[in-house]
Amino acid sequence: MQDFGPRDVTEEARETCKNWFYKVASIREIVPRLYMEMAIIRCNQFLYGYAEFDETLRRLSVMIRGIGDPLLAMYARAYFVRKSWDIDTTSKAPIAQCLSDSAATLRQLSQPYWQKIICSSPAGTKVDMAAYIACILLLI
Amino acid sequence: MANETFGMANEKAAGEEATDIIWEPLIRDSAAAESAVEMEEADWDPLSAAVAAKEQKMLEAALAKSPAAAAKQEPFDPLSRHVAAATSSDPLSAATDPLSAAAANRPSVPTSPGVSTGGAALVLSDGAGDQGESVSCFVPWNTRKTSIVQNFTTTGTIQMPSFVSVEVAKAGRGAGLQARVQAIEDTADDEVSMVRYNAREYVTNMTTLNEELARAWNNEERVKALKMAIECARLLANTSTPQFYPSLFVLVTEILDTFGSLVFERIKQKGLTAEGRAKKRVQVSFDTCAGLF
Repeated sequence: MQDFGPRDVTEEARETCKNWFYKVASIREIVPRLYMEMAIIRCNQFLYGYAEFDETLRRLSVMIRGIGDPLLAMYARAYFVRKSWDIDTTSKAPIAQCLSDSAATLRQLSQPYWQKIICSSPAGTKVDMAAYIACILLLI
Repeated sequence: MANETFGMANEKAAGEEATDIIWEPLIRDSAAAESAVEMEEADWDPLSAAVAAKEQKMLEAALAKSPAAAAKQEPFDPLSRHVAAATSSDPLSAATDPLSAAAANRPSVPTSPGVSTGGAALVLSDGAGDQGESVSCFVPWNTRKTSIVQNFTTTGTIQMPSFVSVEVAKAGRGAGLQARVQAIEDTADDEVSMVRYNAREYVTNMTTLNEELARAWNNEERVKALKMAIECARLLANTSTPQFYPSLFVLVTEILDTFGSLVFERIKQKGLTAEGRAKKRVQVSFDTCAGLF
């Protein structure tokens, strides 16, 4: 996996890379910003190599806590876990953190208030709550 | 001395104060406490598969060492019984079953355990078998994706940004610098209009959007591609239709993944020094070599 590090990258590419991160960082809302950063997370390799992935993952996993909506937070975590698995399978701590956070979020999501929102659709289709939750968990 | 008496007096005072509070042991109803925690039967044990694989491995290791002992064990081997029931009721064929089953699973395994290397080969190939087993319970993302999109749908309509392909074509063809700047300003300025679709249309549209993003990217329209990706990510912040959200998540992350890999590949092509490329080539040849082995 470790095919190149920051030393193998030219200055120009480094600048381009930073530029992308700045662009993404300037998104105002937290949800798109997090998703975008997770999408291009692999580009960190150009700037810092593999050494910094742990730190980045840790930061992101804590940032996801900033999403108030439990449904959004669950899915953001699912994506996070997928991405972190893509780039670095050895880094377990952020994933573990995410899972424990998910457990808390899941409790929130199983409150009657959220059940009502998820199960009652405007058009009247019924959604099985258990299936819904299972789907989220499988994603993670 | 003075210190000591002082300390004792202090203690005494503390003791007197303490007499005001009466400590009583509380009898704890352990049965009630236990029943308060709901015990649920786990219907699936993640370890069971691993344990089963391990047992099989041990059995086969024993078989490799002493075929006679293994033959004695035969009637208690659930695997052989299972296979025997499936194929025939002949006890003679059942006697050779564990080996033949192992051979069927892994064609490269030598079927003569008498040879000293046979045991090692069995154990080795078993390791590969373990891996295969643990992976087999992992549903590939593509399969999961399809099932999610099919299962989680809604009869309502969902909002979606409209990116008109005409715009991409127009901007892509602009030859002069003026035209390019104009095009970028256009894209930057225009408000993203929202269109409402039903679920089926939505899925199709997202798929085309994914292709369009790649096309925009290849047409040197990176700002537009970025804008599209951000707009898609923004969709995920909308939970007005939770029934469709899983599908939405799948579709949008697909687009984000495309975007991420596009960015990654571009920077990689642009900026690896000669040394880095050489390293990569070494890595590739290393992989090929490992593959050959």
